Amino acid sequence: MIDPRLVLLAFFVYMGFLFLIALWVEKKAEEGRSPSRYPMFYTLSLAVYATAWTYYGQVGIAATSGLLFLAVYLGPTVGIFLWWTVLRKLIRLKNKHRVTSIADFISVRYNKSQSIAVIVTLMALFGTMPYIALQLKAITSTFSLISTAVPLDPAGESFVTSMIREHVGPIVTFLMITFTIILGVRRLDPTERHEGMVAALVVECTVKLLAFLAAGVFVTYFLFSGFGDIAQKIMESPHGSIYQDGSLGLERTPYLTWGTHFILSMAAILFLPRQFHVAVVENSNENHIKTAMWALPLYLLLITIFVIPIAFGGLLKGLPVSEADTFVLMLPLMEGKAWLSLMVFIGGVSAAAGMVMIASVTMATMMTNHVFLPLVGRVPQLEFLKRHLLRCRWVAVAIVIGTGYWFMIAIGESYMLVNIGLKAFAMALQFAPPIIGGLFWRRGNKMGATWGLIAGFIMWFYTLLLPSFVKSGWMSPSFLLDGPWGIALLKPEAFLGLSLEDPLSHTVFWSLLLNISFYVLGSLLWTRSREEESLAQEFVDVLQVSAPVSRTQDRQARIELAEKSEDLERVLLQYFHPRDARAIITKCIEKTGLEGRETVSMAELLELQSEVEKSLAGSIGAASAYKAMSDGITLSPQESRELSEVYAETLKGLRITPGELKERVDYYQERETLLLQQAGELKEKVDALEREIAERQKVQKALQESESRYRSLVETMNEGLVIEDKTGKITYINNRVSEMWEWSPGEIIGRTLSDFLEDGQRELVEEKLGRRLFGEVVTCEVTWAGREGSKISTFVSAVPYLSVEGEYEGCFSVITDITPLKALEREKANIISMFAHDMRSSLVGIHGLGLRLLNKFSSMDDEKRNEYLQIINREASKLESLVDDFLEFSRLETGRLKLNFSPTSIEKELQELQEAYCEKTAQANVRMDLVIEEALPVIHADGNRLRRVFTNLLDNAIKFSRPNTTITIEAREVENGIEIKVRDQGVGIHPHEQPFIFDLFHRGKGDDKKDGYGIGLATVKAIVEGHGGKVHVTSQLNQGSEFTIFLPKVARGKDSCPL
Amino acid sequence: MIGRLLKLLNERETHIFLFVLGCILANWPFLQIFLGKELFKGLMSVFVLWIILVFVLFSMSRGCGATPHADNEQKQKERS
Repeated sequence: MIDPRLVLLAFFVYMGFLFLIALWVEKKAEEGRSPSRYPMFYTLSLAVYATAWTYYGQVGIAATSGLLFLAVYLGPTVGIFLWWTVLRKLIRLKNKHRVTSIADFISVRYNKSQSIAVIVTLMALFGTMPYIALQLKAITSTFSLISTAVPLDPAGESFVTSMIREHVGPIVTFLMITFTIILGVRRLDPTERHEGMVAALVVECTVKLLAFLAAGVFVTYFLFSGFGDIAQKIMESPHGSIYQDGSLGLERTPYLTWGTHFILSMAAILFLPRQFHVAVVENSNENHIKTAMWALPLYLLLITIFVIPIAFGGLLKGLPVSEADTFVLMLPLMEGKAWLSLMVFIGGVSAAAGMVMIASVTMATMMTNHVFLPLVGRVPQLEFLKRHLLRCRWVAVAIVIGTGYWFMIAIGESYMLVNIGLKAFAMALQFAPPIIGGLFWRRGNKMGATWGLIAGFIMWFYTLLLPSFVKSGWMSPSFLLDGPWGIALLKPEAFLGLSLEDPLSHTVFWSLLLNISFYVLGSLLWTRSREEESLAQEFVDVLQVSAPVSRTQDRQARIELAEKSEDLERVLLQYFHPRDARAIITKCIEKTGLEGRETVSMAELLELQSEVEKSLAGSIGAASAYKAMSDGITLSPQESRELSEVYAETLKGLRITPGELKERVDYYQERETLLLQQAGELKEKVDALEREIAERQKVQKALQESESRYRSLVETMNEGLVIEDKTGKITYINNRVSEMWEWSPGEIIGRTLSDFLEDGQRELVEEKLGRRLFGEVVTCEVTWAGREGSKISTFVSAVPYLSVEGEYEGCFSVITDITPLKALEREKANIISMFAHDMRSSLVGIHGLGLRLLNKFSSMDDEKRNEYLQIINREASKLESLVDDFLEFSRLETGRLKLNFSPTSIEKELQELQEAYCEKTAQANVRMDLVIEEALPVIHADGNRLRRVFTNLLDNAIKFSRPNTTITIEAREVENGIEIKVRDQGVGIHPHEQPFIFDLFHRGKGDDKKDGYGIGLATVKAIVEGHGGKVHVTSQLNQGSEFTIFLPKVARGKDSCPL
Repeated sequence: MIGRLLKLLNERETHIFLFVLGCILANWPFLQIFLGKELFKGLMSVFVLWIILVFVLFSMSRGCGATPHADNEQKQKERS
């Protein structure tokens, strides 16, 4: 249990918080930044539909009648499909006529009838009182529950605690009256919109949803292990019997009852007075409907999602079915979750207080505007009360809530919460025929609406409310069992012998049948006044956009504005303080553009009167305002005559009779409708075209970007691209073609490919390329003639492009320059030829000398024989060297030179090399110095290959050294490796040659070209890089060259060195 | 395609059709299909139907064109 003082304090704090929210929102509204401009604000305010009956009662229904409760939320969800038409119409008409309530709306439609307004108000009062009683009962009973779940020792209770516990009903009622007046009726608002109160409502709707979800999560996931767990346990329990065999308790909720609840709730969400107030009167922008259309059903779905788990959870925990309405609060209380219980209680208070506030304010407005003011108007002694309209509203609020409390005490105890709510729904349903009929049926009139409402109300009272009185013990049970005066056909729950299982369905059937029947019959039998006809037209066509009405030619402005303003002010003074009345008049004068004028015309005066009437309607309702203006404003005979003249002049100007005028108006209205319809269709087409244009622009942009990418690619690629048209003329070339052919683009475009062919193969190539004209892809080698007579060898791939019909449209030719490849091929052929020539020379020498030795061996002296043998030996060595070179050439050709790594002493290798080259250097008359300042480390390398490196470098050095010069080999240890330099003082290398000297088959262009094959230095580079090292050269012409080799201590290369 | 669908959802006839369809689906005899099942399967079926209705309403609300009337009114209010 929670201390009653704490519960009361929480209640106070919460209501105080709501009050602050309301004040803040009103302040923001004055600054023009009201939160009501947000659609979700509007949507949440509509959730006042979910009252304490939803919060507590639906769990009760779920526990006793299965899924029946869902009909009350599915009905509005389906009904909302029509909101964009129905609700939008209601809102537009509200704005047009400053409607303040549902009674006001119906009365305006039916000729501003005060009698209809009174009937609707009284009906709403009958329907709302029980509902308010239900909310008060919810607050008081849950208050008692939360503070007395575990009774305290009476002796231990303080006086205050005891007093709160005993008088919780009056305390709550008093607080509700106070807060409702503070939040909702603090001042008179000409628009009857209460943004502060609606803000409080929005907070309440949010809090109740969160609190209910919190309770649902607690029960489902903390008390049990989820939905499945609860389902399984309930089916195994005795309570599960009604849900077996797939019946889901439907034998207790037949489809007739479901359908009745479905229809009732569909109407109630819009036609309950409080729902009409928040949905229509408090609406600030009709576009907010769009958000409410989906967000409200979503809200309803969320607030019902945990109903079944809570209902079953309560049953499984052993709580009695008769107390199912309070399961949502009892379960946290039972588990000792005080704060969660308090939260659930506050959620319930939110649900109930929100409804009580908005319903009582709505009822107070309706009562004062449509019952009290007309009554006061008839009793001259009470005229003064008109000036105290605000205080009268306060009293009305107190009466509404107080009566609700009395109702709760008197008959509430005999009902389950759900019954009271559905009675109110059934009452709200009676407003549907006159409203829906009024919006869509032009012939619906005041008489039909009056009779329909009365008939519906009587049937509702007779078949639903009277049985309640009987069941409460106020009347004899024989009234129900035998009918009044023993007439069985008049039995309230079996009227005319029709006995339905569900009394509510019985009431709905009869009340709706009679209501609609009388409405239709009354409308057909009685004729409408001209004004009513005009209103009917306006209501039915309110969604059609009407063209602005041009003003008629004003007559002379002869009416004194000051005098008429006084008349109007006098009317307003009956209801407002003089200051407020004057302010309204000033505002209306400004609005009609008459400020500063002394006299006005008749048309202007009528406009001003209409504006004042609308302002007054905002406070006292359209019907009362119309009556007040009719009674308070009189026209002088001269003004009446002038009004008649204005009308007559209009007809005269048009040269038609009044009947013809009406026909023409109808004709033009119809024409206007058609034009508007056509304009709408045109607008849709324009919209579609605009969308298409936007789409095309998007595609065009994408194409431009793509084209730009491909152009950039084509312009920068290494291959040439030529595009020809179908006549063979070149229409496009990229830069590479221009570079290749050495002609500028201007000189190429417009000519044909044949113009650039090299003469020698023109015929052959033209024949090959000619095949492209037949749609064949052609690939061939083509040699072009450059501007300076050079020959450019290329490989051409010509791809023709064809039309849809398969005709040749042109050709794309991709041209790859293969001139360097051709040069390389020629070089290779030369080298092989040189190889063959050198080998043949040696072989011829060996063969000749061998033959001579064979023939003349015996006659030849020893010296000669030795000389021949030495020559043969030298030529054989030369041949061996040639073969080695050839093998190396072969390895380099295949790209793989094998390396065998082992610990190698570079120092030793160089020393051996120096010794080996002594003779050779001596023959060349050059000196060779080996400089090794410090001992070199042993490295991981292929000694044989490195020897080949040094040999190649030394051979080159000797070859290009001048006599009497020095070749120096320097070796030293550097970081991570050894650096070896081979320096000569020979002819040097031309700077242009230096970048290419390590290329395969590259031979210098000097005189010594014929002595090499272009393999040596390529081999050097390959072997050094195969060790993970580097080689480079520095050289100056005629001064010498220096080759520097770096070898790492640990070879990072692989066992082979690709070239 | 989406544009055509939204346009269709803006038609009053479509609203009436959906309303009638919703009434049929959420009442007898179709309701029996949903509720004549195992307890929670039946409940889930109803909630799935509900979610579909909310989704259709959401799509419909996207299709309902902004009304110049409301916009002008709002602008007038903001100006005042």
